Amino acid sequence: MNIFQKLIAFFIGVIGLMSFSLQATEMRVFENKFGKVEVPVKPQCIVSLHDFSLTIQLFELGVRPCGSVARKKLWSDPSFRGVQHRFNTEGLVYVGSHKSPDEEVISMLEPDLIVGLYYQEKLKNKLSLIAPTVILPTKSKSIKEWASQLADLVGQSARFKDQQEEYNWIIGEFKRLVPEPEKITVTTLEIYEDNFQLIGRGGLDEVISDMGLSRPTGYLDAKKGVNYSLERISDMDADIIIDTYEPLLNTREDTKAFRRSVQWKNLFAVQNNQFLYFNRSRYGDSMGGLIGSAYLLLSHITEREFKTKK
Amino acid sequence: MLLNKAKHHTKKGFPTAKLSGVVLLLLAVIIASFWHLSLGAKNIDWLTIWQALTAYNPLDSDQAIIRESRQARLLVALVVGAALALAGVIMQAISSNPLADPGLLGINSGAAFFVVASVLFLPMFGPHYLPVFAFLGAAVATFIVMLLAGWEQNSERLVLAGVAVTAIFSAMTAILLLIDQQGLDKLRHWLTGAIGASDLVKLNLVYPYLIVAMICCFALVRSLNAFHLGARVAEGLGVNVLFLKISGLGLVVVLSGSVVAVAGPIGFVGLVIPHMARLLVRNNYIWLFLYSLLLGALLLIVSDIAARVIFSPYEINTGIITAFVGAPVFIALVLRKMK
Amino acid sequence: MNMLPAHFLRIKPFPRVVLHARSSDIAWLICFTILLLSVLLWGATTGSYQISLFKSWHIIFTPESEPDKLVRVIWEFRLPRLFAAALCGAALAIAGVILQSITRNALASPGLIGVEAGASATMLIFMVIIPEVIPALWLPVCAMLGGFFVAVCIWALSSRAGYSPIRLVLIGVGITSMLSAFSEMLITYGDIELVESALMWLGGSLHQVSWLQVEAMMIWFVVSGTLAWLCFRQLNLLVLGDKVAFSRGVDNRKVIPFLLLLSVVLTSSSVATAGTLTFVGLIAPHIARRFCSDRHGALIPLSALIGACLVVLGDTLGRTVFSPLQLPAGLVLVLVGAPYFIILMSRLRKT
Repeated sequence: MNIFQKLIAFFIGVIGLMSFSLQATEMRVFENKFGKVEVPVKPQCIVSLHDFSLTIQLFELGVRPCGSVARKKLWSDPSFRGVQHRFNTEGLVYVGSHKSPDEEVISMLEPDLIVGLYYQEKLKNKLSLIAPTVILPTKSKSIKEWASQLADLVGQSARFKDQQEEYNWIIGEFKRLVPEPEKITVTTLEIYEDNFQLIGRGGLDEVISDMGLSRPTGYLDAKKGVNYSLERISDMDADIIIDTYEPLLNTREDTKAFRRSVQWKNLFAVQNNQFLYFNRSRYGDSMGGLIGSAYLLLSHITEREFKTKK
Repeated sequence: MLLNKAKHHTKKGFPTAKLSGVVLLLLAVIIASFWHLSLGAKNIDWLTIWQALTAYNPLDSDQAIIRESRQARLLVALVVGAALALAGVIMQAISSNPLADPGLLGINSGAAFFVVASVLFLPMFGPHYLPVFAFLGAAVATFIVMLLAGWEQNSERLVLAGVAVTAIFSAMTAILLLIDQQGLDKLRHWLTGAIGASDLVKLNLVYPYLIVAMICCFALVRSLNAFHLGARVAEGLGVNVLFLKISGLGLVVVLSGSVVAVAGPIGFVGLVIPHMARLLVRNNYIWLFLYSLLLGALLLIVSDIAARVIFSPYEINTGIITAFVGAPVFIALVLRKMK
Repeated sequence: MNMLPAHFLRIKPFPRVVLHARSSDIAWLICFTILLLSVLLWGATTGSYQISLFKSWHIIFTPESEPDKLVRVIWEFRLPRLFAAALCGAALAIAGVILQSITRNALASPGLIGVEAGASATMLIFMVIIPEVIPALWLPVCAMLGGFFVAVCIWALSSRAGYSPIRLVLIGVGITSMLSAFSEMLITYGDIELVESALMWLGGSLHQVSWLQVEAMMIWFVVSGTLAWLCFRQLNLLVLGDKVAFSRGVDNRKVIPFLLLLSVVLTSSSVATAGTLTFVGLIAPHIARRFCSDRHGALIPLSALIGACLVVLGDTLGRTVFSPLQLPAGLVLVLVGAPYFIILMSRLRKT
């Protein structure tokens, strides 16, 4: 062979070697509060251990997980909450409940990454045997924080930055239009037949604090996630009250009676048509949820006549 | 003439002591009721309560609270307490067992399981059928407990049979709630024995059964008095013991099934009240029933008040308070009576 | 000279120790051992991950030659779970035999002496009311201690005026009710995030059992189970009545607390490993009694075998029937065992 042919052979050899190394899965180290895990750079099959936050966020980032936890309703198909109505979930495999997902089904999917929430840390040992398992700090950190970790994990930080941009713009708009947001009080709750709980779905709590809105004193003194008697509703009176319902549970019909009561009608928010009531599955606890909730508040507070107590 | 003489005789032995006891209890219930109406998220003074009940002004928000929510809750507590107490008296009488109680014997769990199953599997039957399912469940549980415990008057065996039945039905309820996780949210509050304003709706469904059952209780008084002296003596006096036991059980099923349908399983009331009543009156079941009715209502109102006040501003379920009160009483009874 | 009837066997496990056993008892023991092994094999080869019987056999006996991911399914997911199930079932069955014999009541179960309720309540206290005080590794031990403490209380209350099985049982019921109400209160009104974590520990942790826990359980079981079996003569006599037992030299005040202690250790170690399973302690002894009545020398091992079979069965059914939804073994057992139990009990009384 002359030199020319040797050069060509050399280049072909080099290119061949490069493509060969690219085919082996590249791994890197991901670290967060729950430890260090060696994860693939571009995971192909991700299993999510929570439907209402992680699965939704993955879909929003343009990544289709291959398996996810869901809620089971008797003999009907499992429902991937907050995802089914927005994305095509065909091919998404149900892997069990969030408290005890089925490791064998997860094994069958041969995932290369498993993501879970803070209280699923106990499952990490077993699931690590199947694939690298990452626990995200969904309790201690805000949605923006753990969503950014998740985006980093799946290599979609660009898409996450887009979402973050949009969210920041809405907050910016709000602050521009409302110079003194702390003068507006908001209450987020869930009313049931006999009691209510202080819960903010779809990242509402985070949006409210980012916008600088404040809470009524009754709300600040109270505890989240605990049943309160309906009588205490007047302690939670605010400029705007936001409630959510779960269509599968009929809560909307069950609570109609309460919304006809004198106590309810005397609330400031109700008298001024500033009571919002929407379907819980509309937004998940994800960046999309933050954006949606932010638009909601932006619209109702700045885009129409809004009355405040002060 | 003779009739007049007879009437005169009965008037001499008029039970003034017992009657005044009833009046006192009634007074206590009324006072407790006012107290119940006044306490809550906001303490409302008694004058406002009186006005709300008699000269209602819908614009006053305090009065609105009384009329709209607290009144309903009070009514439910009264009825539930009375029904549970009566069920306990009958249960203890026909099983000749001082430790009988619908909660301990699994009757409440059986009724609860059937209600949960009907809500999850047969939602096409409307809410009107809820009490029927509760009765079915209570009846099945009673039948199984009787089967396990046998006709011997062995109190230990009866209680253990009840424990086994409770375990069985609770486990089955838990499985149902696992397979249908959406149902869990709705039923969890009810399953721990909660009394709330919304229960008035359910109470309306159950009223007719309760009224009929209570009337029938009083109809059984004569037979129960005879049975108290012993089964053989009762037979001698012309009482059909088998019929008594079956109708007694039937009444217990209706009474406790109704309570479960309205407020979920609440235990220990049926255990404690008959003993308290027996401390005040002894023999005649008419007085025992009356006293138990009032004491049951009183106990439940006071428990409800405690449930709302102890961990203010959180309200715990009344079923939990009755367990905390009733279990020590149960233990004390065991220590004193079992040698 | 030896005057045993023909159907008795003489066994000499050690020199100078002779056991007399009915050949029928030995036959049943062998039968049920085979049954247990078959059930274990069935459990190892069944699951959401479909592996053919042939391949499963190879994986169990020659794991080196099979692909990693299949070996993992059987060796890391299924086998520890099966062994834990078998050990806990056996432990609870023995605890059940002890309790039923010392209270002379066919309806007694290990849950009566408050161990389970105590363990749950302790777990909830340390996870919901004062979290972060105890590191996660020590929580099962705390649960065991809590269960033990409750059992001691019940024992102390019931035997003030001398031992009475009736009082023991009834006071157990009372205290268990109180503890259940307390646990319910914590679950409903505690900080929801702490409660979620606590419930993961409490509810059917057969799902997350590790080989380490299996080893620990094995130690508890072997030690307490053997000690319990060694008391078979005393148990034989206790069943006949206090006075009969006393006349034959069984000292109530020493033997009964000791047996109760064994029962508590067996139950609490089982609860710490696998959560709530007590129906096993109720039914397994009954089933065993149909084969060897009250001869505790055979009754104890036989109940252990049957208890093990039952829990393995329950666990395997629980994870396959509604796959991938997992039902805890304890609940499945109740569903399956309840009708049988009721029929069994009603037939028992008629004889």
